[in-house]
Amino acid sequence: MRPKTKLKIVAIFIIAFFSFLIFKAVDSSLVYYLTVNEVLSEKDKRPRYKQLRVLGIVKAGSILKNSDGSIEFVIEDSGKSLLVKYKGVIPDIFKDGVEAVVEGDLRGSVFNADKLFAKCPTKYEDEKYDKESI
Amino acid sequence: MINLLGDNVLFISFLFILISFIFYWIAFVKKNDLFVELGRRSLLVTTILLSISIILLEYLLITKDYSNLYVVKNVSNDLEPLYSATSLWAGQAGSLLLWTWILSIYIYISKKNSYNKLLPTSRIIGTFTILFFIFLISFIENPFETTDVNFNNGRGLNPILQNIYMSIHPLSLYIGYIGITVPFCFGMASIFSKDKSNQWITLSKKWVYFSWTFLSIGLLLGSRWAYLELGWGGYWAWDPVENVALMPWLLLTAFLHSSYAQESKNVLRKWNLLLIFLSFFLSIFGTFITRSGLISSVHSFAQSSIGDYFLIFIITILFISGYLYYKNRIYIGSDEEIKSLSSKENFFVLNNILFLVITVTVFLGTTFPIISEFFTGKRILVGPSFYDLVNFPNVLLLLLLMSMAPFLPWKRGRIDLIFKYLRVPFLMALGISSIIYLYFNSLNVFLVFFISLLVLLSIFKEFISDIKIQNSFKIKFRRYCSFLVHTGVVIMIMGVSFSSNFENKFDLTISKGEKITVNNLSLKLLNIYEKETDAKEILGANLLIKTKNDEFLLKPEQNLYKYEGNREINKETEVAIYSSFLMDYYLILIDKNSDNQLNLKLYINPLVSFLWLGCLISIVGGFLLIFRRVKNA
Repeated sequence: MRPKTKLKIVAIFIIAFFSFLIFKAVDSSLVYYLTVNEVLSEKDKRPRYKQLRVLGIVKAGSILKNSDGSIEFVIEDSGKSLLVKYKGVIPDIFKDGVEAVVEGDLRGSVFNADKLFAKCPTKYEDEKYDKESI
Repeated sequence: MINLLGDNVLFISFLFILISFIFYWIAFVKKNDLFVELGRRSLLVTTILLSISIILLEYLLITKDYSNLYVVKNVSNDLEPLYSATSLWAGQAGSLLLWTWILSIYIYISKKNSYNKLLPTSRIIGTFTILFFIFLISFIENPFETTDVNFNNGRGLNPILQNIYMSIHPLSLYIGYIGITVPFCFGMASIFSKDKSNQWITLSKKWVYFSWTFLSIGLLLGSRWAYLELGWGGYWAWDPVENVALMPWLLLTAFLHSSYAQESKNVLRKWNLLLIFLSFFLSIFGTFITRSGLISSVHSFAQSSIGDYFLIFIITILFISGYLYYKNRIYIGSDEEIKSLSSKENFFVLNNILFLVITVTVFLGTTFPIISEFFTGKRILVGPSFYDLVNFPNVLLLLLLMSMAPFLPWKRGRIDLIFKYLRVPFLMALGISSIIYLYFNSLNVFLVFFISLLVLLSIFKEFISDIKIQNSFKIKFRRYCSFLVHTGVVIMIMGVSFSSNFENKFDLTISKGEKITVNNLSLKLLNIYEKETDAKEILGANLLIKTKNDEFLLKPEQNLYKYEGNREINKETEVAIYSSFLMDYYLILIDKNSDNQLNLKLYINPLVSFLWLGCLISIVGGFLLIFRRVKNA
């Protein structure tokens, strides 16, 4: 066999191995990214996802701090709302009205989050900025 | 006034780069040296005009001239001068201007001394790229845009970005990213002009080392910043923004190896062209992804409309390079062929396959939400475990190659000789890592340490035998530079493996004077303090930590900025970190509850210092390679 042919066989073997691995890894690490509305409306239809990520706006005045450092808050999206419980480090930009992404799973009607991200939509390059005064 | 001047300077630079592009085109078609010179001069004028724009914008930023919209958006009255100056790359328009300026300098200085066949064609590509960027800054995202409102203060810089690492990090990444354009231009030129020599590789070499080193610095600073500032106890999260910076680095690393094979043995010609195209594509794609908002990321700091233009540019580049690659494919193949499986060049091929697999993995993971939305209508992400699962065996294989490839000869090697050479390092590595296994009981860490030590000891063995030979380090300078880079990478991987496998987290609630014992260490809350400055309210605490053989004070803080103003973020967590060589103690103050107790989060991260140390060693190796090339070029 020519070295080039041998090399091709080795290469195909490596690629096949990693393709298989990628396939397996995707399967075990899937996180569904849904809005509050989607989570609630598909609650009964969908299969149980391993991990869910839900996007919503933090309802003003809904953030409640417990004495053990955990927090509860409500995220909203197109009229629907979802109660979230979370314990962990709270991102600096997390507050009323920001867009929050929570990751965890839905038990009953309460979402137990193990990860919390927050972001302010287009806050750095705000188009309406030049029209408002400080 | 200055705004108007800046705007006009940019517009004139647009005209000059257009002229330069046309001149180089004529030079290529007519094979005329005069037009090469005209093109060069127009390019020089463009570069000078862009330099003037940079100075003007810097002037506006430092003097805090709020008639300029970019200044209003990025600077505020209380911002330190250093951060006002670095605000040049804090926002989009400024970043693009900086990008364009650096690019024009690179293209201008790339091989200006000697004329050769590749020059006009590489400059056509180069000036075309500059043309695109100047178009963006002078017509779409103009940094000299003014505002009619009379602002007396600006929005300022996000407090979490006011950090020395963060102020250099983007600059370093840009210097690296943009550097990829030069080898790309040479590669394109070699296809365009049907050049069968390896000249483009020789011309590109030092640019590749240069880009690689600065991308490495950028990545290092970014993860260091995340570790010190973001407060989640880690340094890498497989976030889309991190991923897009990593991908060009991965491909450049592959290219460093395979271009060495082409330079030495004239193999892998087609492959190298493909790699450099992909690297360039990914460097632009990275900018596109982070700026377009197509993939949401927790660190996306800017989103805007320029995404569409980037998409058009990417498609144009892909189409042109794909077309030329296909059309001139008979000119770019290698005459030589790989002769044996146990040869250095073959190991480089395997190295390249593995690096490409990592890149594809990262690419898939990053774009998975888009792909899944396209096919299923639902956004599905893959979590960090996806990357860990696929990359772990890959990195092990790469380390294994790394332990053998440097000691294999070109062309035809004998694998049994390598085994013979590695016998002693193998046994020693096995011995040490077995002890580590008995102590820590983790198979992952055992495997990583075993192969890592094999790499280190095999390098050390050559080092020992070279000490006796006179001048050997001088003669083998390049080899030792690459050994240094390898050593750094291996140390870094050991740090990553150990710290991610043995990270410990604790949630604590503690009152004043109370002492808590966790994991062989005791924490005592000495006092809680609340301070007020003009800008912020500070909640902080002093905690005394005692470990088996160490005692130290940690001071985590929580800052609440008074005028939230236009920063949007008014809270800032100051992590308290105590780092020793073996352990990092990382403490975050979450809040104070109604009973006057503090909620804290404690991370104990072992061997994180290996990660920083390893990166630094590799970067030193990279710099030595750059300077060596400059001296001999």
